[in-house]
Amino acid sequence: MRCHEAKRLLNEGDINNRELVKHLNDCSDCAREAKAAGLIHRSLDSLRQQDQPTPTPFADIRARVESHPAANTRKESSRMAELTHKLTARKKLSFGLGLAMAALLFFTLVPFSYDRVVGYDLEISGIEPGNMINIDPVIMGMTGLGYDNISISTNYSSTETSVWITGLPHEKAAQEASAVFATLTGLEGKSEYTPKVEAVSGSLYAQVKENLFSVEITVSGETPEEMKASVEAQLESMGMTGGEAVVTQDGDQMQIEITIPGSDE
Amino acid sequence: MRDLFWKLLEPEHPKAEAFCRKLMRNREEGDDLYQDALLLALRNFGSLKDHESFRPWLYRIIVNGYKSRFRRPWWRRHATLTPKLEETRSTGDPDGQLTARRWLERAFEGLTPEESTLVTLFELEEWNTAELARLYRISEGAVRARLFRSRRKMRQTIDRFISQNETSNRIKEADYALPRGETSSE
Ligand SMILES: [Zn+2]
Repeated sequence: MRCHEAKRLLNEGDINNRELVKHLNDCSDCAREAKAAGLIHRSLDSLRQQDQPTPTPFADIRARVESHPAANTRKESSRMAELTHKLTARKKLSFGLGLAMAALLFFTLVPFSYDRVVGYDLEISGIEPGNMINIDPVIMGMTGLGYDNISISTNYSSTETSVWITGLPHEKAAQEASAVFATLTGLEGKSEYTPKVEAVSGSLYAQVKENLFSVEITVSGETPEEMKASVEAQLESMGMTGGEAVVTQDGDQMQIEITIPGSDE
Repeated sequence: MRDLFWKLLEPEHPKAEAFCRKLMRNREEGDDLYQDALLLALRNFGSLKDHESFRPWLYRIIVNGYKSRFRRPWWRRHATLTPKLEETRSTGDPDGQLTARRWLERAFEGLTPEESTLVTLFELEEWNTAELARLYRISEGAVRARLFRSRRKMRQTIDRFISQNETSNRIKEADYALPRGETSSE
């Protein structure tokens, strides 16, 4: 038996396979991995047999959640869209030794519809009139770069020729398209790209579902300014334009308040 | 509407709460995660069209909550396991459960939050791959591939730990003190 096969059996938990046992006697590398596998296996078994801690009585959890301020803000919020509401009263993250800082996260959420950038359009204008443009090499060139959903349209007038390239997934694609066009046609023009925005109406659930709502925060070694910039950049990248993060530090407590501007629901 | 939410939650409650505690490896923090998830779920219950999907929907909210808390690798916050280790040795650990927990904590160190949730649900909560596929919105094949990858990562993490520490004699036989026996193949 080869190491490759041995590792596959280990992964499947087939640790008593006779061929495997034989291999383990000869191969210290796999033997160590088998020891690790055994430890994990037995640890999982042991925890499975452990008694489950008593669950919180259902009535208690219901009362606790129902009486939480965050559970009762929905109705007002749709009436007063500009009012901000704290969704989660307090999210406390505790950190282990060596990181004596606790970060409090306040997510201030308002029902809103947010704009999501779904792609970019590129316009190349001001091309010398009189040239018929062969767009096929441009399409081939872009396909070669992995952009296979683009389309190109041309507009000829007596004073200038312009070209639209649509279906570009991101800014970099727009820049590449501009370069590809210039290289393959030898024509020069003024390139301008615009984001194509799609309005998404925002239930919070939709954002959670789409995983839009996780913001990564580095707690150590970042100044409040850096943290603010990083959070805002992330919001922006999630299509939440105008999101604002306010970071305040008070002793060893850091508070981050994130506000996303509301529009009507 | 709210009554319906609570009615659907009731049968899920004990397991969902236990899942949060296991994920956070700490009862208080687990309860905190659970409460936040319930608040979010309750507020957005209106958007859940298909009540048959209540369970995966709820767990998705929990998993998302967990991920957003722990975008940073959680082991950095659990950086020190040594004090616990000493404590265990002095108080004794007849069932090996503390030892088991410690090994698992180490094994989970190599996993992303996503993988931690997957392994916890599969190994400790007995979800099958079909249920997991529905929760993560991926194919069953992809679930199996992720489990495969996660197991390998866990083994490698433990393997590295053992080889580093055995050479420096930092772990003793007692650290492996886990109940042996009925651990045949799966
Ligand atoms: Zn081998």
